[in-house]
Amino acid sequence: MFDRALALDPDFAWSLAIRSYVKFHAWFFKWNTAANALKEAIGDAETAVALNSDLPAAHSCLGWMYMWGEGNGHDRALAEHEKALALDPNFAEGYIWYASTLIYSGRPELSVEPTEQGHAPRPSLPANFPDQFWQHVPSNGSVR
Amino acid sequence: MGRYGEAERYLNDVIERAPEFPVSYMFLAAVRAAAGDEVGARKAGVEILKRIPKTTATALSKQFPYAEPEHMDRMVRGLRLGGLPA
Repeated sequence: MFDRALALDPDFAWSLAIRSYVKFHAWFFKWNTAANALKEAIGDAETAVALNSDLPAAHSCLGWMYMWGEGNGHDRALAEHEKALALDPNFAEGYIWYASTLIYSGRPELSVEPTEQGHAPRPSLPANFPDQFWQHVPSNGSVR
Repeated sequence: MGRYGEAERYLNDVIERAPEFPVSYMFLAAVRAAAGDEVGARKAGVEILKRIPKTTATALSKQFPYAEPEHMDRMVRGLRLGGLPA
């Protein structure tokens, strides 16, 4: 779906950002075992930020993936999440990503507040990512 | 923080909303293992293997970017107690 959107508009930053997250999970769960799978996901997120640096989701996706990039960049990741939340203080998913990154960074005690901030505007939000995406992922890992 | 009961309630809520999201079961296994619920951890492990059949505890735990080794150890313990191959 995101490939189709990007074929119509290659500069569609939102679609690139979310496709980066799909590619990230394909790498994470070994559905894509190509050596450059993570690099490709990060590349999409970096391009999304370059295309639209005011797009909170692009910063959040990039921040999320920086944790897995070279050198486990927790601080770089947190900085991207903070940019996303500065751009949109009501970005529910952004707070959840930020909170998760704080946990991975070894600061779980700081994650409670952003988690609550993420759930306030979107009480139905699962703890990790929009459930709409996972509804399209059957158990064999292929994306419809 | 050790608030395992609360953590499990949130995880069950997430699973109800997005049952195919494999990571929820990994955290569930870790939480149950930390709480001493071996049977529960094993049930969570079954759900992980349904969704990612060819994985191991070592392979999965390497995917989590925990900065603190102690936090990583909790995840590994949960996955192993969940019945995932080492």
